[in-house]
Amino acid sequence: MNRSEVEILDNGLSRIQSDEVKTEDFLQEFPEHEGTLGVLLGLAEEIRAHLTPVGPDDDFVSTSPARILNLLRAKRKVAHKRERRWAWRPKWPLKLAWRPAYLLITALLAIGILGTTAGVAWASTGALPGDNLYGVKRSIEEARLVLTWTATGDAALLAGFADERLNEIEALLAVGREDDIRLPLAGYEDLLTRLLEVAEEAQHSGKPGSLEHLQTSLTQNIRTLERVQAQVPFNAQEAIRSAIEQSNHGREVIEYIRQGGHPSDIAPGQLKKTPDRPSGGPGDHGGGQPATKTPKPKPTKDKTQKP
Amino acid sequence: MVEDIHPPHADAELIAQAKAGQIEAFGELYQRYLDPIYRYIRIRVAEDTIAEDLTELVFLRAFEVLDRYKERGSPFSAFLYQVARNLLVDHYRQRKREVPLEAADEIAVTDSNIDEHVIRSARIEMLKHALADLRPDYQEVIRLRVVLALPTATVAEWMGRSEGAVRVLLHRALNSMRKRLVEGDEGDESLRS
Repeated sequence: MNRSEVEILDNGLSRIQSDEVKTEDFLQEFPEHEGTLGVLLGLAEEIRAHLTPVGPDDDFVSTSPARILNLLRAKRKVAHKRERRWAWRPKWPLKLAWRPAYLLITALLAIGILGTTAGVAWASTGALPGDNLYGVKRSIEEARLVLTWTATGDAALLAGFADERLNEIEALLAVGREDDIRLPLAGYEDLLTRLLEVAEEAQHSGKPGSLEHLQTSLTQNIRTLERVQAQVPFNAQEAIRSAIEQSNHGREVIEYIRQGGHPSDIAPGQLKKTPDRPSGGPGDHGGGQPATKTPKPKPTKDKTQKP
Repeated sequence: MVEDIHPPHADAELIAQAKAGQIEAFGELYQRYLDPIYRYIRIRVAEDTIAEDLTELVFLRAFEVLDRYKERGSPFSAFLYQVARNLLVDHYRQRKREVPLEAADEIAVTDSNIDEHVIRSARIEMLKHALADLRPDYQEVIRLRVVLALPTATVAEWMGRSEGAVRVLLHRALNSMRKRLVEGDEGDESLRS
């Protein structure tokens, strides 16, 4: 095989296929290659004659184009309908959520929400009974109680909240809202009750001196109540006196617990309440006679104790 | 058939319109290349109906992937040829058999004389088997250049080779087929003797 024979073969094939020349006439143009080319061109002619397929059927040629175009139009209509249906959906890739702009917006929203919450909480600290945020303030106090895990923590919080109730009473009196002091006063007594419930547990599980701190706090509360008692109207003084008596009783119970007693050992009325009498001088912290001596703890039940 | 292959510049505008969504422009392209694509497929499958279905499928598939076609010296016919070859591969895989030329002789035979028909059929069978024994690229160049009578330039574009390489390939393919036919004739003669 040489280069010229290859090119002559290809040239001859093209001219013969286009009916430009017949095979024998073409071979006469290249007599030096007649032997080899004659065989190959003859074979090519035979292959084409025997193996060439018939073209497409006339019916197919006439109908197929329209069929194809109709099919393409139908597909395009379906595709457009699908695009319109989902056009409202933002074509945001999932990773778009991690772009800095969107992270910044999310962070600002989170800060805004947290800031608003903190702001409301801060604003509620000065709320007084009757104010819009007073409920928020009391809710936050209850939430703080839930979040403490120790009796000592509970006792400290309850004492602090009791102090806050008395502060509210003084604040209300300062602005002339005497009618609103009943709510914080009731709250104070409720806190006192809860405080005594956890006092014994705080004695056993808490820090040393925790009950002494509570006693000191109650002593200060009594002073505050006595101060308030002088400012409230006559019809509110009975409520203040009751609060003072309860504070004294609480102080006695705590002392009993400090000496190893159990509040459950105390029969109702055994720890004598201070009798009714007008508020005295600075030495009178109980609003009456000094508290009776608390009974010493006994290992066995005293039969003389009456229910 | 050779004149059915249009030069690339004549198709560029139609292709651009078809890409823009003008289905009628693609219809024009379909009518231009229906015959050569059908004939190429017809020599590779057993029946007319299969060839018709696959031909339509070629153009449907071509329209779907038309965005991938970029006219960089490669004509649209070569793009259709590649689509047709891929579809034929899928077709064979599904049918698990290849019948490239079995039915062609049935269609080409038009002789009324039964003896001549028998001789002709035998010769066709020999050609078919000799072609099937060739290397795939030899088979393909004979199908495209000889059976379909496509120009060398078109065959080169379809096969992704230079025109010179196609000429050399054709020369070698025909020589190889000639040798197989001679060996087959010698084998028949030895059997007779």
